[in-house]
Amino acid sequence: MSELRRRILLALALIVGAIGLLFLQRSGYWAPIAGLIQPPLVGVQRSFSRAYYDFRDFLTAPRSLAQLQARNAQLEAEVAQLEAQVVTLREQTAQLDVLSALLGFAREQPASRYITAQVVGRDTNPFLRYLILDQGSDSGVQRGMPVVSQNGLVGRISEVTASASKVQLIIDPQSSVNAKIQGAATPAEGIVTGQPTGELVLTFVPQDATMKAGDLVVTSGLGGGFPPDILIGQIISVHKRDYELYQTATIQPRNDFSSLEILLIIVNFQPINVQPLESGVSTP
Amino acid sequence: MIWIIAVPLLILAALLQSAVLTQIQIFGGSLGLPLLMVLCWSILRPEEGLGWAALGGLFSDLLSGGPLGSTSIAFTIAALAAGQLQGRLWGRHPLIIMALALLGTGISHLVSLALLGFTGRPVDVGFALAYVTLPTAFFNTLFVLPVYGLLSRLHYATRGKPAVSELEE
Repeated sequence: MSELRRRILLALALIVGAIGLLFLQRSGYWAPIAGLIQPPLVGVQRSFSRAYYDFRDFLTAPRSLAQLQARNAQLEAEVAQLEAQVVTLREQTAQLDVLSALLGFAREQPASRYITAQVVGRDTNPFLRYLILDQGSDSGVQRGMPVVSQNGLVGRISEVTASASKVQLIIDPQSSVNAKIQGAATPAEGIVTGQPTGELVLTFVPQDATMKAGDLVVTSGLGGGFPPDILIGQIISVHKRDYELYQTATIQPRNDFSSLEILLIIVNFQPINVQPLESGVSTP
Repeated sequence: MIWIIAVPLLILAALLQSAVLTQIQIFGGSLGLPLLMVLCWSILRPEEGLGWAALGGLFSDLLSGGPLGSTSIAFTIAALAAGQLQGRLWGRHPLIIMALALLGTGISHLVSLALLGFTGRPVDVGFALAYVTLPTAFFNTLFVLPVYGLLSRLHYATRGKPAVSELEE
């Protein structure tokens, strides 16, 4: 047998093996195996990322200004938190005005319960945007739970093992979040999707909706995947053409997804699976 | 013997990729260390390169939200191409090694994109090739020689007696 033929046969055997793994994952039989393999990997990964963060901070922080920088970071975090609170309060006030006028009741929103998690790794596939967190089902993390930072929405848990979880970021090309423009005069709702470059685009916004650069985009809560009124980002440009059904907008995310280190997982939010209802509607 | 070194080395490369290298992005691209190691080993030892590709891809997949096995397939096809082409060209000239890194990155990314599409996660191919593959291929081409140099040392340290053809080379 020629060398080339032998290599091609070996490559085919390896590819068949890899396809087998793919089916194993799809059928759900991979999860227990992943549960065994991933904890030690995450342990080592945690040490690597800690070392990298320390090294990066050492390189970027001017020694003489260390205290000033710490104070600045603290104040920035406080400002970001207050901004997020203002956004939530403004939205709640607007909703309360409408609901009070129409129905005469005040809206109650249960306080979210969070657990903190450290980012220990990022997706090795350059076309996907996932993070690996050091908290898993042992800490109460479940698939579908929203993940936020002090700046707003980060993503949702897509995979969980006992001691780690993977988050699909909102900038992942396969991510979609129902969103609305905060405080818009006419209802402006759409879907925020990720781009391979890491940008966000708001699509499916009706032509008659009013939106402009600078408007804040928040989760709408539609579809049951995310709680409402979590800040996503700010519109930087609107693309409206008369011959198209919908208008789109490019969004500047509030989070810098390349420098996320500590995140909050909202553990008391149960995502609602509306897919069976949707398929029921579409069936003639 | 080589597998005792290869397995931890490939795990280490995947961990470094996930924890450090993905954070160092310039123009949307970052160095793909596991792929470079697989390509270099395929040039040095084509018969073992395929095994490195399958394992390197699997370890990368374990640290990815993508479909399990997809990176293994992408790396295996790239390794097969690299192993085949280098023998037909001018031996192991640095320019050939750089060209193979460029080609290997392109093949691996194209296969990866196709597999993402097949598994229901389509990505805009033109966009991805322009904004992710091109810068990544640039970095891989730039850094392939140091990686090749380090793996050459491993190759010479772990091989048995040098073959006559290699001595003539």
